[in-house]
Amino acid sequence: MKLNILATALIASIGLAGCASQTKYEEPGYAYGCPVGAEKITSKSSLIKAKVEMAGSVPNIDVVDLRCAQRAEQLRIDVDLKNTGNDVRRIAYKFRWMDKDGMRAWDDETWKPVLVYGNTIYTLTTQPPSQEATDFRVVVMDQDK
Amino acid sequence: MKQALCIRFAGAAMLCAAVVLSGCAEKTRYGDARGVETVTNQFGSTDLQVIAESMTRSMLNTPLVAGAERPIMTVQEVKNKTSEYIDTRSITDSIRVELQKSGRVRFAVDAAAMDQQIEELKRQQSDYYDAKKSAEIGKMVGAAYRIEGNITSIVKEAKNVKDVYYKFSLQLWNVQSGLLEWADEKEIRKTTS
Repeated sequence: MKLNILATALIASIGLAGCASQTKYEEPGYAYGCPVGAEKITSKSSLIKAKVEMAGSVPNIDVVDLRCAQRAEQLRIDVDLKNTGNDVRRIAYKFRWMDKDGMRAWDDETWKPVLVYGNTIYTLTTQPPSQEATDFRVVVMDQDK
Repeated sequence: MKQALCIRFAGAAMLCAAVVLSGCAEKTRYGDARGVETVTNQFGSTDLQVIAESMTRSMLNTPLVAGAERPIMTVQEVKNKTSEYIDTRSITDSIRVELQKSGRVRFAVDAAAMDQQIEELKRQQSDYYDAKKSAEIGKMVGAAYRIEGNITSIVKEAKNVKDVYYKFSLQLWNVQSGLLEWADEKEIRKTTS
């Protein structure tokens, strides 16, 4: 009887451990590896909302993912843009850089024209221009108008 | 009666002319210096800015520059191998400014500015200057790395289409060992139809 209870408890604990979600502890002020300051980020979509600015309407272009990682002690940022339409879309983008206090840490970047083919994903990749630039926003603008 | 009609007609004509002329008048406005410029398919400000930014970010990502020690560099020539006039000095100037602003690199005086540097050193050796506060001759620091590159283009034209392809290549060479430490290139295609 005792053995049965023990075996059941063991199986249950293994089962629960398997189901448990892996918890990654992040540094304060970071979410999904990206610097977020004091903003409350609860999901990837809220991270994208906080980091992406659309300059006017940009039809058929969605930001589907945003990744940040430390590579050789430097922040690397990837932003996936998806063209949900069938036609080629021309857009432009730039990054805005802030320091840890939210102050502007770099001059305005140039708008970079990009061509996104229909139903494909284009990844914008960048690194901070200086050590002071620790936070960012990505701005996307339509170029087909 | 006739005279009054004439005066009215002349007045109306003048008003129309004024409206038309004001419509033709040139308007000058400030624009975004960092905006996408597509006036012609020749090498333009957006190309220069995109190349400078792309090259700088790529170079900043190399272990040599990303490390704690700030390497000393010098900028050499970027050869223009295209068929159009491009001020390549302007491109290297922009790259140098961005690298310097990053705080990870230092620049030694380059060949183009050497004459001015020597002139200033010589001037400070004259009797007009306090010898204790003057810059000494023989203390200049040489660059450990040199930056050089080239820009090429392929231009194709058909009936109503003109396609221009630019390729900008930049390299970072170790002056002492002659080793290539870093290289990257940026391609740009512009089509006018």
